[in-house]
Amino acid sequence: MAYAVEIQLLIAGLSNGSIYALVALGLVLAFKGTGILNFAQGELVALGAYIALFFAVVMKLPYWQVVLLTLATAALFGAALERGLIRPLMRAPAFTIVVATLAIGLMIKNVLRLSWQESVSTIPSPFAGVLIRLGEININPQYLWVIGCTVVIMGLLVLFFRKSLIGKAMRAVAQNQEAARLMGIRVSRVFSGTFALSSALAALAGILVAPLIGIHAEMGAVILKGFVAAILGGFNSLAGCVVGGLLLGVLETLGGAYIGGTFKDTAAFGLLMLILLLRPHGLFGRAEARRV
Amino acid sequence: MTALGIENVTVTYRGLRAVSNVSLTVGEGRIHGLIGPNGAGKTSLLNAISGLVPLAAGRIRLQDRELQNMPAHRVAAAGIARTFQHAEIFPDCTVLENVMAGGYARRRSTLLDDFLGARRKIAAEREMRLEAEELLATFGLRDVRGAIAGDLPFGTLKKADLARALMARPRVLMLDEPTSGMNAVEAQEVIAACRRIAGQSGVTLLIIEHNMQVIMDLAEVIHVLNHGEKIAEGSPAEVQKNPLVIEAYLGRRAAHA
Amino acid sequence: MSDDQAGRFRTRLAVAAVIAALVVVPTWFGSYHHFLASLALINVIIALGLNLLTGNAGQISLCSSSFMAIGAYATTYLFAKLGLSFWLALPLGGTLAAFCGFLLGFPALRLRGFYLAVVTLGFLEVTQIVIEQIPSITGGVRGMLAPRTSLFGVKLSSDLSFYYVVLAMAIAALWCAHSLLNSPTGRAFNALRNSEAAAQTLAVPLARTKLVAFVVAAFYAGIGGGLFANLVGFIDPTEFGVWTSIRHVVFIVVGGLGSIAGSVVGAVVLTLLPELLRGFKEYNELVFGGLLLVVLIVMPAGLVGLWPELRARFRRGRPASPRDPLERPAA
Repeated sequence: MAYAVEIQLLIAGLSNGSIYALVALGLVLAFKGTGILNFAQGELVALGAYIALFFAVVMKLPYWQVVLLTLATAALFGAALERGLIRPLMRAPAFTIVVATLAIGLMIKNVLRLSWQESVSTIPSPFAGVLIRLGEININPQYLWVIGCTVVIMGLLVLFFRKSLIGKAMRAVAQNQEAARLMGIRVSRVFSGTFALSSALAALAGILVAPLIGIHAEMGAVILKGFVAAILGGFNSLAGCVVGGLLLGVLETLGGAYIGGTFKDTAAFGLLMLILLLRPHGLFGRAEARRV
Repeated sequence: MTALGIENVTVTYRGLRAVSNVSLTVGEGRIHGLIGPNGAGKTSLLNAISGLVPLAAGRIRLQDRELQNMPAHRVAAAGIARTFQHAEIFPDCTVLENVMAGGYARRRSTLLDDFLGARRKIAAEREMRLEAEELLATFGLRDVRGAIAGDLPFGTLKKADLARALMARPRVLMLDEPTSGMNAVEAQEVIAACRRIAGQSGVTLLIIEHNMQVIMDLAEVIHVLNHGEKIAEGSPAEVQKNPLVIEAYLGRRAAHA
Repeated sequence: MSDDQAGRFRTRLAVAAVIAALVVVPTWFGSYHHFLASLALINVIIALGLNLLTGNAGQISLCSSSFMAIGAYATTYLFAKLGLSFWLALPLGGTLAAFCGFLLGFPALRLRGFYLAVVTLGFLEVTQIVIEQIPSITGGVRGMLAPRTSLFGVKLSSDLSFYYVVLAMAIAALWCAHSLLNSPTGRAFNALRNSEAAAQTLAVPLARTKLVAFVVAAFYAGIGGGLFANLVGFIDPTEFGVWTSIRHVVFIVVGGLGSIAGSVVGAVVLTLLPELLRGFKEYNELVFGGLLLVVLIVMPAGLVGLWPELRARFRRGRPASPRDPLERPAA
């Protein structure tokens, strides 16, 4: 069948891109909702994977329960993180907050590394191991599961922000904290909620990617790709994250296959450089003007 | 002799005409006022003269030099200084550092001097520091010279902004609402300072003001803008009686009352 | 004014005392401590440059490790492979790094915030690729040996003697950084960071100032890299990745952005701290992260914020407010 290899690569690329999109979504949500650039987001992905590992392997729960419980636990963790460590830093200068989140990430990574001694593990997924064959095309169904979940989550998020009260409150706080507060919105609760949501998204990424690449303490490195995806999209909108992530994933995978190994690593930055040259604020970003 | 000549200047901002075909001239050493209701385009005109925003059309002349396409820092180096509506002070630095920063246009040390700490740089620094302290003294800012600017009240920052602009010893000084945020006493100090600057140092002043008492008292000629266009021009007495001006500020009924 | 003169004399006395201590005290310690002290001072040099760029000029850079690498490879190549005197190779290595900083400055002119950070990361990637692709010069992934240099014919094989060289360089670096900050150029940096609009109206050329800042930071990092290679004796390309750059940023944030004392304190404390935490074995990174977090929560403006606070409390004045170089002034 023509283009069998290309289609396989495309699906793999879309799957990788979906993971990047999820990480980017978490980053942009936290940033737009609270003004915080969370450099621990990558470690939250790892944390999600490890929590899922605990529920799956130690508690031996079925996949669906693992997913739901992990998301819930991650959300609670995110809210607690915001309340306990992020809140006192809100007034600090931007750089301080960045380095502080780096420190938090470092601590999370070490706690994970120290509490789970095995170097690489994985969680059993109902989709891994089964291979779908369509003619000459072999598809790992986990890829489809990743892409499918991301699309569904995107849809749910759009609905959430447009229709639900909490979603609208988050948008209000993101645009103008003072005004939102004056309208009776409990801004501190919205912050916690935003971090909870952001952590849950990271955890979802961790759960989805674990059967593909395994679970290990260095998983957090995916944050760099997430950043690239977010900036590609303009660090502004959900759609931007998804487009940026998918674009990155596909380009990386196709390029890595046709051009070679080094391309895969540098594709991220190469793409970003190119886009920023043409559109300095990312694909969907907006320039900030300041009147003097 | 004309110090500052603005010919048919138009400034557009995202499709809106902020300044529309405005012309005015300011003679050397004179004090002119620029008034108009909010949104009339006064600050935009100043920004265009400074080179901070591009001109859609028109010419800007400093004596015989044409400045309209120059980058902002060259316009400043040519001798046009200005203050800002919101002071635009450097909040992180002390008041003294802020004012000394104004001396950049007159720097006498090269980059290498600065880096290596050459004698020339050390001497120039000492001189600049003394000058800055004198300037601070004339504005009553000596006591706060070591304070971090971001901590200080708005009126103080406006004065510091003015001192900083003067540090460059400009030929033309444009002030954007210099007395806003000040009480009556401080406003009088600023007025006296403006008269001194124009009279003794021969600096040409173009002042945007909302405080009518201040500007009518201070300016020799007043230009009035509304909706980006110049609607009137003349002595304070003439402008005050001009029906178009009254209409712009108070509405049509008041103009024909 | 006599007050001023008295103050200047006191400062000079204090500086002389500190330098004397830095010269004499290490002789009481062993080779391991000399190595550590040299490392700390090398980090001070790099931190000084980065703080000028980021803390003062307000430009984010995540590729300080790349300039270190360029300096390290260039210096060592010129010295070890081409037989040039180390004392010529080092400034040449720094100059090459400075030139690369100049090149990086151009894309940086139009960008700020994380867009700028990303471009600097891209530069880091490019540098790593180049290092791998020219093994004839750099030894590729296997690294490069850097034999210890000599001074006036005497090989500086003892870590103490090399320490004195690094100390001299660090003092020179401090002098230049201090001089630069208290000059029109330094004020241009601060102006650039605080308000580009106001800076322009004060005749500060934005593009040129940004380029100068990048060049100076790159030069400092290059010198630091050249010294680092000679100190360690070996150049390992994996040393110069993004996490090293991030460590440099942590130095200046924890020490205090925009302040020379901040660069010194941050670099010294954060170089020595991991060594002190060795006792925690596998928990050392965790403790390090925890300490970092505590410091930042308690002193958001960095460790140097402590000094004015203490001084202010002593003199019953107002406590210093935390300076934030990135926040826009309230409009």
